[in-house]
Amino acid sequence: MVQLRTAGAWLAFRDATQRAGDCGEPQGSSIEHPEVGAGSAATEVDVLQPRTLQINGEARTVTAPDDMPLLWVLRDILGLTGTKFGCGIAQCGACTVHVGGAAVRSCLLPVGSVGARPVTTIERVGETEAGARVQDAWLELEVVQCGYCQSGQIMSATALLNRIPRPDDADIDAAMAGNICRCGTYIRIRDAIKRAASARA
Amino acid sequence: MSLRRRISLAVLAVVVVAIGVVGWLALPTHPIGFARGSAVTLANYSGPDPTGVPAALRGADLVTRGRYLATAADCAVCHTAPGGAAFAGGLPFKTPFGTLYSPNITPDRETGIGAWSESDFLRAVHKGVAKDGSRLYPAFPYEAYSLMADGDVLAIRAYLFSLAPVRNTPPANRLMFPFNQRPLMAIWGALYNRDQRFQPHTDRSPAWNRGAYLVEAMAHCGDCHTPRNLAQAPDNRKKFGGAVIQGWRAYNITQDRVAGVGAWSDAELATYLREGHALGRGAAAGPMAEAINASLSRLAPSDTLAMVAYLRTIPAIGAGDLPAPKTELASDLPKVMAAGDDRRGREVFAGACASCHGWSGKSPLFPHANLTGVRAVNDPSAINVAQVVINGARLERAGGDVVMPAFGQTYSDAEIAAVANYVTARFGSSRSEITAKDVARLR
Repeated sequence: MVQLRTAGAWLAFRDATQRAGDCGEPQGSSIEHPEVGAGSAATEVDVLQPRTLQINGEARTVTAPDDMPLLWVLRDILGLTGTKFGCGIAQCGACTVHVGGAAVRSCLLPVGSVGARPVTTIERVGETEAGARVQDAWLELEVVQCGYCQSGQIMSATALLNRIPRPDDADIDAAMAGNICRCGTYIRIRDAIKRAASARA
Repeated sequence: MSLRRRISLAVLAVVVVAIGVVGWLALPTHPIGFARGSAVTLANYSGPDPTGVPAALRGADLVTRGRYLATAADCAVCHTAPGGAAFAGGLPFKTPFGTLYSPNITPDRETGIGAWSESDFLRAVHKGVAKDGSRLYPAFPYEAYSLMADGDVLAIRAYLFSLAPVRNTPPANRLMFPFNQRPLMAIWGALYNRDQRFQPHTDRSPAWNRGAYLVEAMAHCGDCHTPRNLAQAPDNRKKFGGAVIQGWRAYNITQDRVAGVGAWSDAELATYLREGHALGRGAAAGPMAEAINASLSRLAPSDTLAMVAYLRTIPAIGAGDLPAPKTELASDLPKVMAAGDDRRGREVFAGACASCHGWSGKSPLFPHANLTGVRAVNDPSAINVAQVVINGARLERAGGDVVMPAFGQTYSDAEIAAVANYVTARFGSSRSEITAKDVARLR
């Protein structure tokens, strides 16, 4: 029952952060909306319905509340830990995955809004044509320094090449601007994207 | 006619005209004056009672009813300081005349209102006079609350008195002379507070009357959305025509189809009031998000619909500078620039905004973050775009809050101005020209 425990953990986390963020709340909240407070997490988990997601070409069934971010589902429920948690507010890009082919920050995307759109993660992006070219170029140019941001960098770069096969510097700047690298591998990233583009079959 | 006599006649004419102009600019106006027809006192009204709580709560005890009414009147937002205990006061109000602090309205006997009798409380809410006889400032919207039925005021008192007393003395007001002279507020009250309970209109529906009571006596929407006259009283000749308050722009909510909400469907208005968001219309932030979170989202569905029915009848007022929101998406290719895009704004947008908001204006993450069609983005002043960048936004939901982070500490005034102008140019119907100086003033 790992799934249920994780969903419970998310609900408890959510409730705790919301209470911490509260100010100016009259005690005893609303009449129509029952209060979501301590002790409610367990009851919410009990009524969760399993959902099926298309992850890396496979149908995976998970039990998670609608508002759990996709990143939590990937890492904590499905054990796909290649996608990283960085900032949690879509400002760093470490959590980037593909949803319906587009690069999306999974740390904020509610799993309830994914629906039937296929999700691709760093674990299997190398099996796509563009993903393989990007990873080859990454290895050839030794792009990686510490590596923490690189899952996200590769996912954003692959989405870019699928969209614009021959990107120029301005395209690369705009597409990659939201992926932060503390080691400063930006120059090698740019070169690797250009190499991957020219290696097109 | 002697020269002296001619001069004195001319001076007299100037004085008369001046008095006329000032009088016109400061004329007291009735919030429901637009709805001509027959208003009768509550006692003489035979329709369903527009005051009190919704049907489901009619049988509830006094404190429960008072809690609903205090929520509808949005007491908590102003009477709670950031991080402070609910209703214990201390929230600062920055006005052109200095800073006011809301008082403690918990039932603490020394620092709150624990020693106030029922008639003390009624007098304060209806007449703007505290227990000790001192005059309250009209930041407390008693000119709206004086429409509230006595029973509802006393139910709110019962609810407040059911709370734990909190010992807290808010900071003293810092107002410039002569505004620091409380007795002068008696003049304001005499001019602008009708001190008359809500009167239903017999030629309107029960829903309209309930909506009018909720909008005017409880939610006091006009305190932000109606421009103020020379004496800082709502000027109902421009009722709900929009105003800037606390550094945010409260938009036109008249039935004007271009500048107001006349083009919104009933369902869009109701969803916005309940959830702070309507698809394609935008999400609430700033003071409106506070009103949604603490008050409007907690009302009974029948009350939300009643408010919509009433809002539908507000006469249209065109607002010169607000264009119809642009509804077509921008290109989702980042490189395609709109006219007037600048490089700095684009770089900030690429780094901090595009991940959530998308390059087209349709968010890849959640509909609350869509920029296309949003009023703030289609406002050439860009005041609210800059405010939301500085302060972020938070809408509370039972299923988890919807949050935009605050970027005020991350970016300079010039960067925030650049990204605001980039956003209005790319996603709105006209590019804004907000400057770094303007942004500095908003902080």
